[in-house]
Amino acid sequence: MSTSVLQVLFCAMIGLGSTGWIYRKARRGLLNFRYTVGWLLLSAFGVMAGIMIPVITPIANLLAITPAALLAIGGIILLVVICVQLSISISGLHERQRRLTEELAHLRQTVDTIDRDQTR
Amino acid sequence: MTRQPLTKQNVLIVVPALNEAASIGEVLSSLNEHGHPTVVVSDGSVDATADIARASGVAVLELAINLGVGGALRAGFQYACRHHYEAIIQVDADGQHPVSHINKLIAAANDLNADMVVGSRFADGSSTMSVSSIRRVTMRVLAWSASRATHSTITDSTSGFRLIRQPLLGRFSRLFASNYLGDTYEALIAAGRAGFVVREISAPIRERSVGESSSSTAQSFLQTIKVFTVALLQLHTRI
Repeated sequence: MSTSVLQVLFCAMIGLGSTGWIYRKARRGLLNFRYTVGWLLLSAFGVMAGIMIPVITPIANLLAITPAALLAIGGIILLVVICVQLSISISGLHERQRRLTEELAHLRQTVDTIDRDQTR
Repeated sequence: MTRQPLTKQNVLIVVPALNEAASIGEVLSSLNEHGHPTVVVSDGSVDATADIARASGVAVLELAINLGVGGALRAGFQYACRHHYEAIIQVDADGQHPVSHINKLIAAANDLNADMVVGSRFADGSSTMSVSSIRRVTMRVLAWSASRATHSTITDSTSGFRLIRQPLLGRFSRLFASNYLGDTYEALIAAGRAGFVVREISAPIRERSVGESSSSTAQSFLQTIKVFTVALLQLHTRI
């Protein structure tokens, strides 16, 4: 079996494995629809990556790197973009959590004041 | 700009507190004696802090989860804005800030027409506070940086004893950093760079009556580098 066929099979196996893993997490309700779709698309990219090797070979030759290295670089860039996007989401969630906590405290204080006024 | 003069009645004392049951009662009775309207923000305390505060008759905001000093203060600022206070004074719950200095801050804000007045532990050079050499150096660097941002002499950029007046108070009630030193140093940088008038007066502190400071020197040093980088790269909260 040639090296390129092995690479295709290896990428496809990893892609399929991660697809199954993401699907199970989604079924158990651990991932919401938005993230499930995102990660499934990324897994599909993994499956397709092996098949894409003959297509990207000319680009890899132009950059003087191997097609596998080009795929790896593409994958890393994609993951970094996803991580940044998730960090932005988490920062937004922190701010929302903070606002909710503040509002809850204000409401409780208002209720306390009403309670105190009524018991007088 | 002519502003409403600050008095004891239109200045709210904001006391952020995390598990300060041992000391908060004494602080609040002292504030009550002097007739200062006060709100205690219990920052996710698991002890009797909130109950003691309620029993002393002051308003209490009880945060369901710990948001950090900056988070607690922002809730206090919102309370002040919703109840139409003209300014707030931040006072620690550990009894380090002498209540007698509160009137000094109010008088300074009126006389200097300042948006923020910081009570400095070091301004008069008589501080007896013991700090490690690393901490002293970082505090000096931060003070230098804060002085540049505010165009005013700041000797104690990490002091938690300060007065904040409208309209700056309103801005901070919407945007206020909750990270380490976000409520002190970063707030100074944000106010200074937004063009607000920041001034400093001398206000020596007392030793903590109960408990000890929550951060180690190493932790403080690393966090200080982080917050200094934030200021250097202008990544601070925009108000």
